[in-house]
Amino acid sequence: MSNTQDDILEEVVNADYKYGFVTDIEQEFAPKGLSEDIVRFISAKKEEPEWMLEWRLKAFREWQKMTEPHWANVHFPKVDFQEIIYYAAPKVKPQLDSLDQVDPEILKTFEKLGISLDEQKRLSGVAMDVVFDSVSVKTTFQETLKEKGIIFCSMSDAIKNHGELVKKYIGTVVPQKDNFYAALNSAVFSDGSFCYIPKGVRCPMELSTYFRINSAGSGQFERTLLIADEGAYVSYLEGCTAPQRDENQLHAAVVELIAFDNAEIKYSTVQNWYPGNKDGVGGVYNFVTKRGMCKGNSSKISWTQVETGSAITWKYPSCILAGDNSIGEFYSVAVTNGFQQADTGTKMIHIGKNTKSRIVSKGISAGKSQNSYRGLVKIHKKAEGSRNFSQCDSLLMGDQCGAHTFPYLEVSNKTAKVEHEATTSKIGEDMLFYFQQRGIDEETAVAMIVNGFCKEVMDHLPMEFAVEAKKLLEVSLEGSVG
Amino acid sequence: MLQIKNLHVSIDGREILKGFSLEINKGEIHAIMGPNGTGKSTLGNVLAGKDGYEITSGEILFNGENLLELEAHERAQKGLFLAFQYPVEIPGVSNANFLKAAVNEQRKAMGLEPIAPGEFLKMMREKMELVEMKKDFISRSVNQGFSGGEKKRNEIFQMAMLNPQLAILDETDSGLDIDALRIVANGVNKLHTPENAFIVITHYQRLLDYIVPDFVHVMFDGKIVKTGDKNLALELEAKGYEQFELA
Amino acid sequence: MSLEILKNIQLKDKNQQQSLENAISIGSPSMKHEEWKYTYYNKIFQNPFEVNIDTKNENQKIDAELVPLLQEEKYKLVFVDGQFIAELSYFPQSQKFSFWNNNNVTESDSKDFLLELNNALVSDGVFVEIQDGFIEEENIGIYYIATKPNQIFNLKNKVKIGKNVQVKFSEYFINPNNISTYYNTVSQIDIDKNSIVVWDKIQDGGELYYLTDNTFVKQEKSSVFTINTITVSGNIVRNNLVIDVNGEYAENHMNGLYLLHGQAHCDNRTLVRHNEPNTNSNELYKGILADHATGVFNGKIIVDQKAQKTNAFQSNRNLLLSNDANIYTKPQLEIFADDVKCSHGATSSQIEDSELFYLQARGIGKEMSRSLLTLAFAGEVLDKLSDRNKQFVEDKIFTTLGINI
Repeated sequence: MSNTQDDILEEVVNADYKYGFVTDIEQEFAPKGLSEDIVRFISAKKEEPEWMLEWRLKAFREWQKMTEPHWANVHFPKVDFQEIIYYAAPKVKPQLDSLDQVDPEILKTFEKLGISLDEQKRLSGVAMDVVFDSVSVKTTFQETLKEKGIIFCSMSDAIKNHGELVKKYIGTVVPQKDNFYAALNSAVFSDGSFCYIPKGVRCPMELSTYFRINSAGSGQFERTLLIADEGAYVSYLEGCTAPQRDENQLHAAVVELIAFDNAEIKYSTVQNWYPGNKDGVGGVYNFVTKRGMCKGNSSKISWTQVETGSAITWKYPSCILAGDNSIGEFYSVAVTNGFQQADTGTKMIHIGKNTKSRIVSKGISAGKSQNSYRGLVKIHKKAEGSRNFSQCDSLLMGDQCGAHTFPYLEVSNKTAKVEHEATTSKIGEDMLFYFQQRGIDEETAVAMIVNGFCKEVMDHLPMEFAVEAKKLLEVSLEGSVG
Repeated sequence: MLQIKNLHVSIDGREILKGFSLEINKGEIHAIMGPNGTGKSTLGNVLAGKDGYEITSGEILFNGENLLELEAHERAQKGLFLAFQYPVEIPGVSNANFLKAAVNEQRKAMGLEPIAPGEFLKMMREKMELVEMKKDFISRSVNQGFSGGEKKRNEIFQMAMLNPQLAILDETDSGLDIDALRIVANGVNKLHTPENAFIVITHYQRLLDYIVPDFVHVMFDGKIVKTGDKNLALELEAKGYEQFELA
Repeated sequence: MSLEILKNIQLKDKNQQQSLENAISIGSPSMKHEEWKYTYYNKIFQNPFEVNIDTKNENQKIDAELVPLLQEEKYKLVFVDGQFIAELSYFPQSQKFSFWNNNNVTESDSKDFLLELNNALVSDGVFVEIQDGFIEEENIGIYYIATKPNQIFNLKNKVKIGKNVQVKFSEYFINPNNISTYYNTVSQIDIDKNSIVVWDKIQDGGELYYLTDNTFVKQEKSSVFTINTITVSGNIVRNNLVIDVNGEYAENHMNGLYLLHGQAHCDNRTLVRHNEPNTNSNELYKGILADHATGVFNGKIIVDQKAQKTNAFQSNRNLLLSNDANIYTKPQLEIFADDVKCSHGATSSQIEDSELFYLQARGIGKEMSRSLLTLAFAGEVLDKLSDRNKQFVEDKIFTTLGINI
């Protein structure tokens, strides 16, 4: 305990954004701006088949007809979509067979990030895909996974080697014209991860993708597609960092999950994009569409997220509970400090009979930040016997920040039982005094209270992620009380 | 061990303690009795260092050191313990983690290494028996969902873990049934040694059937108006506090 | 008919004409608007309603038997088809209590269609002024009785309450002949220091009745305001309640009950702004929805940065009795202060089987058990009403649920 806490305190002292370095490697860019030509350029660069290009172009045409959403409780200057570079890639051989072939600078970057593509991680049994700016640089553990029939590779590889699977499922959960940013992503997505777990296979290790934005002025648009066939199980982790830059960077990803009968997908995210400096300059705009489809009966999708980064977060990992007896879960910790703004939550759409969902959201606002929970629980007329329980708690630190809760409950079936509870509170003086009277100083007390507040969510993260997330939490809230 | 000299304390400009003095030596148990609103809890909070109280005059020495100059957690680390009248619920922080942090902070202040996990667990189990805590207690959140009696027992348990020199029990008996009262008192008696001291703040004489004080002080309107032995408590029980209203 | 009819109206009063133009330029609320997401306002204008601004009502004869509540009232102001009827009203004036009818037209630029429509087309209303220290235990009743079909009526009330006052008001929205009509009412209630005000709204217009009620309350220091909004019928009913808590130690209690059957649609929108420290608000809205009925609850609490030590509690509980009934609920908290305790809860469920079984096991028939439990669910809100209002609403519930106790 004490050791961990010392580490935390040490981190707190040196709490500038520690992932804010830039990696100096040779890169290849697309020209600035967005047009049909750029979409064609990206598709050509990636040597994609014709159907993929057509799919992208359709999305692009839809996007041109759409306008940005304004309903979220976030405020920022209008993004100029013609000022963004839509494709940036390290100049390396397209096919990498071993770690030796990865640019040493990139490896160094990952070392700094604390991500290991090395033996250590092998021992810990995590298979990783790493997306650096727009391109997937390395997927480890291919062979082990292949034995089980599991496909885990970059989206580009999947389009080339497993085209029929991608073609069948891409856009079925998040259609091209779903929303403004999803349409944009569909047109220009550069890479991402693809995963298919065959029938009855329990993936023997955690699968993991690490995303990193490196180049200036480039946006990052990954597309992730995960399919768990009947009776399959997979736990998937996603981490995100970006360098410290004065301009705002755009990140508009799409994640689609599909679970067939009796399949289970557990998707965990630790998001730590650069939040901007203490005056609110710079930082990543994180506009992400994540949605899971519980297509089969008794399937389960569970989202867990720890969101500490980004200048602006707009993100609602959702579950469509189509199969009877399917289960959706959402566990979230969102921390905002400085000038950060987060509007995040989930949607649980109950369609099948006896479907269940559980939402646990913990928002912590500090500094001058604004933290909003926005969620929808919809019970369709035919969703007999459905259940939802939602708990949304907000913790305020300091009197300059805001905490907001916007839950929508729409119920059209009488047998459904829906319960939503929300509380807002601050770390009380009485609570701090209780700690102090037991000899624990204020800073440690705050750290312990915050960790306690988030515990229910942290418990759902895989072990090694939980440690990282906990530290991140402390760093993000440095100096917020007292 | 503790000297309180002519202490005057106000909250929001209203004087609560009006010249309170008391001296406590090692091995002694002092009971402070008095009706509601005479400043008994204020005394406990001021000794423990809670914010929001204005000390207008007087001094408090703890082992010769000026207590008023220390922060709340420093006083605790030096062996001053307050058993709260209303223990606070702390969601998500387990009893084990909470106490491990407290024990290790205290050890750090004394220049000791953190306690070994095995030893800590052993100590927890031992002290839990003292107040008859159930096993699942270790992993439960501090005071969350505890009954009134469990909260009070938890206070005594924490006291056992931190082994203070001076413990202040602020109306620990309020809201306890007779079984819980017996468990709490029994814990206190076992922890009492010639090296430590207790201040037992109470409204009723009942607790003093189980914890026998060396001195009983009657507190009224912000100061001690009468001091005696344990018989004074019995007398108070019989006659009430009305006699002091005239004084 | 559509909103087009507004364009053909010419009003003599310059403020009213301005409001009419404002209303036309704002346009009627659409479901694309977040605040109207679940309520199809323009349905109202699909009816063949007329706006009648010039003609005074002919002497209205109301069969008092149809409005039993009227009989026993000490203070009553009665409006029939948007016009004040002195013969039916009784309002003793005194130095401390002045009470008369007035259309309360003002210069207005509210950006709100309903308020502008009201200010433009208002036919009458109440003006009440209560001086410091007035204490009255009797109910002050305001009745809106509809008799003439296919009309749009706008009424506007202004209530000024001084310091240390204690009063109880009740508004009754009634439609004894079950005609089709639209009422758009606006009330401004200002409450000065230390006053205690209770305000009941009893809405029972029947299945052809459309109502948009807009109530704005301002509370000063240490005042206590209680409002009970009860909707037992209506085609579309929209209640917009806005409370500004402008004084320290002020508190309010908002209770609501909507008991709907048939095609009824009831939308309750509440907004409380805590603008000063040490203020409290408590909100409890309960819905019982049968048949094809729809309930909407949209509660918002905003705690200003300087409103430290605010306690705000909000709860919306719903009982669905049919699979064709819908509930849309959206409890919102917007907190800008840190030393606060705020919570909200929302639920939707049906009657618990275990409770049903318990009653049955005691020999009570299934349907009766269900009705009793439904009534029990409503009880929490009904208990906040004055006895006579409670009796009135309970009788309605018995009829609706078909119970006979």
